[in-house]
Amino acid sequence: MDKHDFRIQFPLWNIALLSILMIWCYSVVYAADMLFNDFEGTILPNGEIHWNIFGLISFFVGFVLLIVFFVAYFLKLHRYNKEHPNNRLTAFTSMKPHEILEDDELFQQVSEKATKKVYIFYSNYLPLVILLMAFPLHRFVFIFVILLLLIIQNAIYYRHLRQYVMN
Amino acid sequence: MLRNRVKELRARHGLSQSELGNLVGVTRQTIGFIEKGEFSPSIALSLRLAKHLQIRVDELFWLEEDLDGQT
Repeated sequence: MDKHDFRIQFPLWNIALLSILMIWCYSVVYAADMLFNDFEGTILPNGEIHWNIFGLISFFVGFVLLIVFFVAYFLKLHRYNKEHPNNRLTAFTSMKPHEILEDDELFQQVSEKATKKVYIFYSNYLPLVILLMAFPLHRFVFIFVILLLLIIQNAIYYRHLRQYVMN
Repeated sequence: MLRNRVKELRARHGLSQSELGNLVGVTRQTIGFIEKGEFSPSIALSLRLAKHLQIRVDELFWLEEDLDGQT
């Protein structure tokens, strides 16, 4: 196992997906607002349509990046499963994330220590997010901040794994 | 700190880290970290290492402070 191993790099893939979702979530929140408000403010009384240009850009850029991401992800996953037929990974898992390595007792300990760091991170920063939610900000901001927390979580986890694999 | 003679005995048996790892059921990285004294193996792994390196566990691993006490 080295730093190029797919399972070591898995948090980086998570970071890439979450970054794309950050871009995309603006348009998704905007579209949900339009849907639940019966397109109020979008279709003007004179019949004109008021386009939110940032919403459109966010949707198309995010959509294209998502397609590129999933094509690259499935190619990488296919290659990994071909090289490791006895240790195949599934594309999506709701049970144990692929980045939790339990190959042997060293990696169990490394995963435990990385998880501990993530736990400390959430213990410190989730109360701040709750505080932020007390303010009347747009829903997009809350989703953005939660995605940012998830990115930092993966970065903490990857940084810890990497220092062991680099050695 | 736990000190050991894994590197010396592995070399004496002509084994690479990967080969010794395969024999005892761990990764190359684990052997490397044990050799550097940065990872303390479990009792089960210590016993497996001692068995494959044909040595007693207490001759393969010892505590640094025990060595200091002897000198």
